[in-house]
Amino acid sequence: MSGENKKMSRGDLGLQIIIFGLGFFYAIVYYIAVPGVIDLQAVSDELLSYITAVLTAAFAIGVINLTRVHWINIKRKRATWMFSVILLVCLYSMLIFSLIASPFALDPNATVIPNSVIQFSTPIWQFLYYKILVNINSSIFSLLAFFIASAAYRAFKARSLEATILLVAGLLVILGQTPIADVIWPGFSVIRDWIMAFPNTAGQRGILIAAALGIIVFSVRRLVRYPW
Amino acid sequence: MYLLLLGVIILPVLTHSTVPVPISPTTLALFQFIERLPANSLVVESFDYATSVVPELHPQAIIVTQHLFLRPVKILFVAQDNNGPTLAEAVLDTVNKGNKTYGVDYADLGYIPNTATLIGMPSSISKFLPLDTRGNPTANLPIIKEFPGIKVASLVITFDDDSSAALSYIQYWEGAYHIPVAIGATSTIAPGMMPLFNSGQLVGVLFSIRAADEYEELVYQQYNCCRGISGASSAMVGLSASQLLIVVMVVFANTAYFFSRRMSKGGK
Amino acid sequence: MLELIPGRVSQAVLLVVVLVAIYEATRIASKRKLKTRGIPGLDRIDGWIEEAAKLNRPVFFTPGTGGVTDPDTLAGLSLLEYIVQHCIQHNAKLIVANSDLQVQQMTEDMVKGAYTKAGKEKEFTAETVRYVSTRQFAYAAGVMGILRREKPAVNFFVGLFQAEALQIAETGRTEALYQFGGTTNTDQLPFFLTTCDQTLIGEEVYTAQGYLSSDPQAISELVGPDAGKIIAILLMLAGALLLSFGNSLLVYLLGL
Repeated sequence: MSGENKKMSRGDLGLQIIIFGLGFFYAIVYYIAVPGVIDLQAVSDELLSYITAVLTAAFAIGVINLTRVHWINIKRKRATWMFSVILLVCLYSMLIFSLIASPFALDPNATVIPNSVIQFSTPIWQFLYYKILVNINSSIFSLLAFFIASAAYRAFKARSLEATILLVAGLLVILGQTPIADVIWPGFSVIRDWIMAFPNTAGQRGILIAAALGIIVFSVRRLVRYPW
Repeated sequence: MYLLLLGVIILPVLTHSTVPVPISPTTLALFQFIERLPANSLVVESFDYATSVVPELHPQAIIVTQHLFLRPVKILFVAQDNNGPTLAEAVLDTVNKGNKTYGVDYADLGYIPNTATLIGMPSSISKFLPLDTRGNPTANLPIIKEFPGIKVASLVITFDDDSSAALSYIQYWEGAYHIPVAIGATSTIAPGMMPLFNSGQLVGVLFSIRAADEYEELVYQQYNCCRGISGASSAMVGLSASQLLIVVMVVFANTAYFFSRRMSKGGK
Repeated sequence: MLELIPGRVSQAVLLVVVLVAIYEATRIASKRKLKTRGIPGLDRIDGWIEEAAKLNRPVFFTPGTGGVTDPDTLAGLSLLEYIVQHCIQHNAKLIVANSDLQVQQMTEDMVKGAYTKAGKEKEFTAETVRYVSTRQFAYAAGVMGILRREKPAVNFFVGLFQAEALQIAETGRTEALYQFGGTTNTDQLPFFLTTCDQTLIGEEVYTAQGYLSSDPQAISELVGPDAGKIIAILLMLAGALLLSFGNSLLVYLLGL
């Protein structure tokens, strides 16, 4: 951590003034208006769109970086070079078909790209998106079911009083969430609703308030003191 | 254990088993809110989930959208996730739109790229989203002429997988313009939405695929249609069985733990 | 000319009050050299990294799926700065995996700079800081693959995590000696608590830097939130009491 009190150079001081000024500006725009003189909200929106444009450029840098790293893998025939080939083929084919045929297509009205190319690319893009991307993403997400089962099996052990309370509350909420459990006894969903409405809400609010205060202090230190 | 889990999930799907699901208060709250909307109200549906949670949130989106098409309301589709416009089109291809016409009764405005657009849309939609997903200028759409800004909307429903979109709608639309917000949430974030529901900042919370089945039942009870449209009912037995299996395994683990402790104490 | 926006007046007043409280608490704490409670896991980081170096196994760090505008990610990167220093000190191999492209550039710059400053530029390779994917589960699959192949001895998961948290923490648990987690996302905290040896809960993610830093000003990160919490508790008690007696004055004031 940067614990030393460094003397700021002129460049650092200039950067600090910009950081503090912009941060303070965004903070006061939320609370203060200057009607009839300047629309502060419009100014902040405009600045935000410039920042978004700058940040978006990083995507291009990211693609270039990814291509460079994996191209080096392929060139030097490293152990996993075949996977790098697959990655680059998938990356650029999805990129090309998305630019031609996705809802974010560059030329949806076929002004420059011939209509026949768009017609050819659309079913391929739909296959890649709906049949491969959606299903693969869902499959990885579904692994969570198995991980939750093993985590619950390991974690829900009545080692102490607190662990026992956690165990009982956890089991009651799971049973309350289970559609079929309400057929066994309707009280499960009532208990679940109570646990979610009171202890869960209280605990979540406590952590949220504390985290919000932590963000305020963290952010103020970032704004006031550069380098970090 | 993993094989058991796989078995209890797959078998009910293969046997097409179903189970009656009681209606949660949070699902009922949203259904009743939509039922009470006056004719010609504007509802904004926001698709803010990634492809990974399609099995969980897509059924919710389908049945809620179908409900909105059954009611005399106007609908705008937006998205804060870049997969949103594609998923919105997929939902529109699935539901029965009845007599509703694109551009007059509903429109798909596409992706909201940044916070500035979110903040500006209540005052002017066409200024911040000049084109819809079909390339039409939004200023020319009859629905936008009727509702030039979001601030007159009666409801915003977000299907969200990480709560960021829901919180942004609460912050910028509910807080500033008092537009009611509801969320269709995944099971991981839904508990975190309960404080917002209890404080009235959310008018409804749909808990995962189970809520889709509950909502489908409510629509069926009211309109005598649309059973099976979301596909959620086929998952309920598998969902129940897997959750009950986890409960059984936890009880088994604790029983084994107690016995092993007793034996080790007896051994001393 | 300047006017407060209606509906946000009480928020502005509260913010000023909280900031003043934080400043005063910091001033008093640094004057009186107040002792703060420790966050146990943070003391062990150095020992864990040393053990990883002795076993010749890498140390793994990931700041999650957040972007540069997320405070969780920035707090995670603050901890990374500390971890990098200790990895260099103990000659432990470091692997950092990123989901966000801007975060990737920041971490690459930070880690490379640290190695260069220590005169160990050659130890920083293209494999040290890796960009995995912006897509949540592609990132999860990539990190799981790294954890399986590289078999790090110590894993750090500190930042903004969503549903992929349990997947990567469970996968890491099979090979790692120690795991350290931290996030403010209350939905993922239970998963870190069950799979990690030490977990930073909520605000501890932000106060970690203050705890580890030798900068006396950093005590504001430890004491400041506590001052704000006292104000919050007093407001809640006052509000609950007033409302119980049918008085909604505080509700009205907070709605201004």
